[in-house]
Amino acid sequence: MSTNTATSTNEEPVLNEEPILEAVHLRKEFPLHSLKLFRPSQAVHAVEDASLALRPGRATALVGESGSGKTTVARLLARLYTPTSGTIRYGQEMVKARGEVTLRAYRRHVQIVFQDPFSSLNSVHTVRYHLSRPLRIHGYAHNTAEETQLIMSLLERVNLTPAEQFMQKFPHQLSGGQRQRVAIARALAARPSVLLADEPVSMLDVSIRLDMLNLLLRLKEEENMALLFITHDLASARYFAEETLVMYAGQMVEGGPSDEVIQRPKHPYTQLLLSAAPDPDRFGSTVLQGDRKESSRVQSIVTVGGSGEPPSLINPPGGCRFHPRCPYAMPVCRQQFPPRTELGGGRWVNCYLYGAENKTDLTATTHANGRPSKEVE
Amino acid sequence: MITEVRTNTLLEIKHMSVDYDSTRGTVHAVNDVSFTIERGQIFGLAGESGSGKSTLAYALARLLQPPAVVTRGQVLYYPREREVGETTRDDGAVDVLALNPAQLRAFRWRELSIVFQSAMNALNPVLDINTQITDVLRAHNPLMTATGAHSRAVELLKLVGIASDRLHSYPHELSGGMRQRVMIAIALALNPEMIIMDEPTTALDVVVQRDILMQLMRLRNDFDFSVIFITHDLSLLLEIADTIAIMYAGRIVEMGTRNDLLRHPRHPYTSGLLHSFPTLHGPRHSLTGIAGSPPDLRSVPPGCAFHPRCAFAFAACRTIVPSLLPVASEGAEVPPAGGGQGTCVACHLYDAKLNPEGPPESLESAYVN
Repeated sequence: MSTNTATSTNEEPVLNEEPILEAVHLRKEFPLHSLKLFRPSQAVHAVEDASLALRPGRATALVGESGSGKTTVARLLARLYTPTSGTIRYGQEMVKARGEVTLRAYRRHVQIVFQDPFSSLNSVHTVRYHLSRPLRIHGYAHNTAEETQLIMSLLERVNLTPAEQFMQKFPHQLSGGQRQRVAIARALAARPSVLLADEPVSMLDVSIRLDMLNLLLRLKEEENMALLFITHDLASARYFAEETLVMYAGQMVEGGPSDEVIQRPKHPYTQLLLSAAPDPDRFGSTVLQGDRKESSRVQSIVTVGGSGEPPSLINPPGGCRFHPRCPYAMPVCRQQFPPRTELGGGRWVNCYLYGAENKTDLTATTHANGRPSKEVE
Repeated sequence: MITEVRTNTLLEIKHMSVDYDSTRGTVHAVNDVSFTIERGQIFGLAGESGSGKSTLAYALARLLQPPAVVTRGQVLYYPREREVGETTRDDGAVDVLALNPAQLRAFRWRELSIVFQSAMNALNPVLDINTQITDVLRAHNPLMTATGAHSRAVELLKLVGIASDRLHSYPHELSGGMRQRVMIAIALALNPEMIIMDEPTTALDVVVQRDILMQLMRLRNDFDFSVIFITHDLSLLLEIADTIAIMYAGRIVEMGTRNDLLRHPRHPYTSGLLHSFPTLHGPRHSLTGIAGSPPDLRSVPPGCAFHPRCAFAFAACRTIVPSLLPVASEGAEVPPAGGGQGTCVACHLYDAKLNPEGPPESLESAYVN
């Protein structure tokens, strides 16, 4: 990622602080094992060229549909997968490819919270066991008394009180929200400086999601942690993160300050995502205007273009992987992945529409709700 | 004898209660729920997991299996053509809960069909979709020829936006969105009056979800069926539903038109839900959400089940169960033409006897900083 400090009008300086965790040109392929001997070997190209930087005390949201590779990126950063190519840097150090000791040291700094709290906890162990493992492994607790004290404080930090009671419980005795809190406490036990949260709220009930997000925000502030927040929901990305990155089919297509990206999306895919997101405001505003009546509701759904589904990642389309669904696709989009265009203020987009040779600004003809209008075609 | 269609009402649910019997105590999954559905209406049923919304829908379709028992209530279905006979009452209504197996078989799918949450599990993986669609057609219409069924299957797929060359595909060859479309096509096969959709788009991505909803709205305009749309995503319902009922711990706590619910949420839980999802536009508020977690249905708190999480709870909430009552329509909009319920809420804040001071000006303060 470029480190030019572009000055923005109203945003606080985005790129001043040194990134604590940086990934450069990460790529991950999962080979497919075929029984046919002479067939060329195939692979799922899950992540193609992902670069990102996480800074202390800041949250970065990674947004995309399922299959866009966002979870793979988190797992690469947590070193649960080894990247096919590309580098990960923690602080000033390159993260080495192998070695259990190095990895353990790395995981003291970088922890992950998984999506599904129902399968990320071991059902035969108590909460106490789950939290004691990282404390012992990373050498924070040397005896039972210390361990108890640390576990109590961890449980209190994630609002699981009374802590003495929760310590003895098994996962099946906890609700989904409580389990996710245990999973967060377990990640915090290692006192990480980077927390990777892989859709931490998508499996939880609506009424407790916000509570969980607020908890993560509070912990981020208290610990000055760098946070990667993976989600498919643009609205919570805006609520939660200072910076938002958008992924499509393994490629990063757009990034920048969250409000900028979500209020004024540049890449056609971000615009599509935004127009598809449920948004009662959109309906409410059309009613308030009073110019469109009952049909406005149907209309708001019907006029969104760009239907279709994400491509197969075994034989992804060449060039920009969004081109088969893109209303603005040009011949060059089919041949080559567009280079990153810096738009100033920390904004960037990988799209030929904004390249040096093509200065069409889509936002000029984009509706307030991010739906590209037809005139551009 | 055929009598004229008296009202616009399609389905009337009266005081429905469903229990699950278990050794660790009875779970009252649905508790005294009443509402009516108009023809062509999209009725949204929103609630968290365990609020009883799916149980309620399955009870309407009589899909519940023991240990679930309908302990009380009536489901009245008003067919378009009223044949007064042994199955119907004097006003032409069919008592769905009293149908015998043969009548039930005729009622299901022809009058009421259902789209399940997980299309992968609802479709048979070893049969192609052609077989599964024509199976429905021929089971309900034994005289239909093979070619007739085939051409209807092609037509149905076209309706939901799937090319006819996918007719002989197996479920695993289709994407999640397409499977859900096939489910909708099967639900439409016999032109039912009413479709129950149980979280039809929950497992799908936003873009695909939007496509399918768009299709659904189009089909609803063309065929004029009613939909009960069950989801936990209130923001989605606010875009598509005509009337929305909010369920909490087995009861409907608030019911009203979409606009009314969005502008004037009356129940603190509804207000909390509305303030639980961040918005895409406007200033970024700091949201607090609803404190606590949903209750265990085996031990629902006494009084109003929501009171332990409610910022406005007072003494009466802890002892008296609030019933769903219409509220004064001050600031509320007139219910849509053709009848329908006005806004109803089950909350003591609106009971002049229990809360003489009247409801607070705004419920928002509890959820927004």
